Amino acid sequence: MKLFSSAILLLILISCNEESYPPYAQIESFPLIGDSTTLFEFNSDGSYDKKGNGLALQYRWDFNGDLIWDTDYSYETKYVKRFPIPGTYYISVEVINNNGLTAVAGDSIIVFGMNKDTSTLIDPRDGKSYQIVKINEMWWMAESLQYGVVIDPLVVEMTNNQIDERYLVYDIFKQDTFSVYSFYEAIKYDLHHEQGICPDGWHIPTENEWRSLFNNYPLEYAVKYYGENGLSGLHLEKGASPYRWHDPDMPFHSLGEARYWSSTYFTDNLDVFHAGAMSFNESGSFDFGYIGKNHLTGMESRAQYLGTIRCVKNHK
Amino acid sequence: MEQFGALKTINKIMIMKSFGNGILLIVISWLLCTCSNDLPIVYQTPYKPVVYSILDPCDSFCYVTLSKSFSVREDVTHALKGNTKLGIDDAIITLEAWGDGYKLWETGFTRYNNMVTSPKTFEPGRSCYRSNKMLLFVDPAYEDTRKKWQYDYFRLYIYYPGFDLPSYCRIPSIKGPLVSYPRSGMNLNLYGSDQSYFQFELDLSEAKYADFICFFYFNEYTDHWTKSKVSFIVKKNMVLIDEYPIIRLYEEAFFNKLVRSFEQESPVDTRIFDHMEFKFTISDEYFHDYVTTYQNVSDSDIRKYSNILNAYGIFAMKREVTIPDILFDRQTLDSICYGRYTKHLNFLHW
Repeated sequence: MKLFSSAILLLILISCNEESYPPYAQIESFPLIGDSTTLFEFNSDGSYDKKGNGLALQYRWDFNGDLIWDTDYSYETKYVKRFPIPGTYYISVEVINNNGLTAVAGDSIIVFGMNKDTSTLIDPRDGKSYQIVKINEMWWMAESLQYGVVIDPLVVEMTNNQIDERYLVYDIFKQDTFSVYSFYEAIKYDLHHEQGICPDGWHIPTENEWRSLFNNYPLEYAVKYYGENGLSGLHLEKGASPYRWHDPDMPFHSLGEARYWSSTYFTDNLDVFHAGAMSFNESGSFDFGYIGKNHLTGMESRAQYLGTIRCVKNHK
Repeated sequence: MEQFGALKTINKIMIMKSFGNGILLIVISWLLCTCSNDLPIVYQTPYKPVVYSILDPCDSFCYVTLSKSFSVREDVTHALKGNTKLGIDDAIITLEAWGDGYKLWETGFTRYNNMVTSPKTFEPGRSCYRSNKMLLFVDPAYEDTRKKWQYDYFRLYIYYPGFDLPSYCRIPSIKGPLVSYPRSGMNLNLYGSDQSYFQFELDLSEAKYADFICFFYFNEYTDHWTKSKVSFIVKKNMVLIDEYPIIRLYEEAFFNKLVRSFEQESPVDTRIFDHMEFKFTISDEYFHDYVTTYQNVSDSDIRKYSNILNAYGIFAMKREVTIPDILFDRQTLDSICYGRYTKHLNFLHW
């Protein structure tokens, strides 16, 4: 009997010994970076107890790093949540087993909201005001330039006449007008004049400056981020940008993409001049490409490509 | 007396034994109670949403059906009769595609009443929703070079009026299968050493379930010629263990399945075989688990499967590839027309 009792006691000790071990907690957040509209997922599926499963574990969550638990214990291993206020959030999950032993795991996420680094630029030349936005330490115009004397596309061509000129195009979707320029008018007919038609202290963006916007993000996300009503506040339009055709009834035709001039250019092996432009197309992608001289000028009965202008502030 | 005394002793020993057994039983029971993990008790709230959506990125649209769970104690027939009782009509559904940690695409959903319902999949009473945007995903599986599929995950989440928490699911995307052999135009031969086969290329870390389906097209004549087709599953719920699975068709099994697929067809004077298509469908682990959970389930053994947070049901991904324009070689066509399995189907050699 003694032996039997000892065996039982030993069995009890052996079989219950595992309960003195705390569980192991694990957390995985998805995504790690999002905005105030993103639904974040927190997953503690990888947590387990001594027996190697998480079935008997319960979970509670803290979503702001104050270690005051924001939920009660639950058997659900996942939680999803939005964060309306931008910032860095420290997320913790506490896992508890049947014996009341706990373990904690933590992770952090970054929530960014609408870019608050915005200001206003007053163009001293005509007193017009523009929304500007700071992105990657650079200030960009968040609206297209509307500077210059409006000329009639049916009557007058843009020429190097010491007058800053623009065409005014009516956008039937927005029921508003916007200004377009030829490449040469944009750079004021001087290839070494980076400022172009921009206000003093600002310049036409280079290819690298345009590309710097898009290098850090997958294309589709960047288009959304920088596009109209995107969280960057840059509000690049995807709408149509026109070209001027030799058509008296219809001075502007559309290529179905918005074109923004850059100050970058090159001359190819055949001595043909090309100017760079950044474009959004209707399907929502961007492309930086070069346009040949014939299309820049409209020579040889070709369409003259026009574009809008977003100025960027000079580096100090 | 001695005998009585001996009997008493035996009784005593037996009492001791049964007492010992009783103690042992109590101790073991106690051990089991104290040292086992308490599993969560699943309790039935008034109802939980039931979500069903199988995403194929090459489909035009994504569909989601929603209903409310109900207790088996309720009159199921009664519950199913009232079309609006089980459906959830005012849900807000979002499908997102993610790549490299960024949301690259999203769409909302709208109630859709023109669903062509298959009796088992979309039971009456469920609410069907269709994505507002067409999917239009480029499928790298069909390009010459297998570029990285740009979408790593798809997420589905659903908000319901009256529910605090959304139903939510994130699934990894799976690449479509490639046809290694043949592309199309094969003359199928079910006999001999040069018997035809189909071979595919898969990513086994993604593909966990596969069906192989035959679509058999023919013309039939009673008082005029009409085009018709039957379909049947050649192989179902294939266990995928080979990166390059090969499917061979065997005469007896193939013809029996073909004949069974004609059971619902009206008798006709003459039929002429036109061509076949074969569809190889693969699905992810969630679909595999879902099918495995519910196959061979009786009414008294209702199991719950869900890969969706705060809901029952399934959100999974399937991909498929079709091998079109498959014909028969002369010997196999002879068999269809004159062979013992299919002779009664009245196929003419053309």
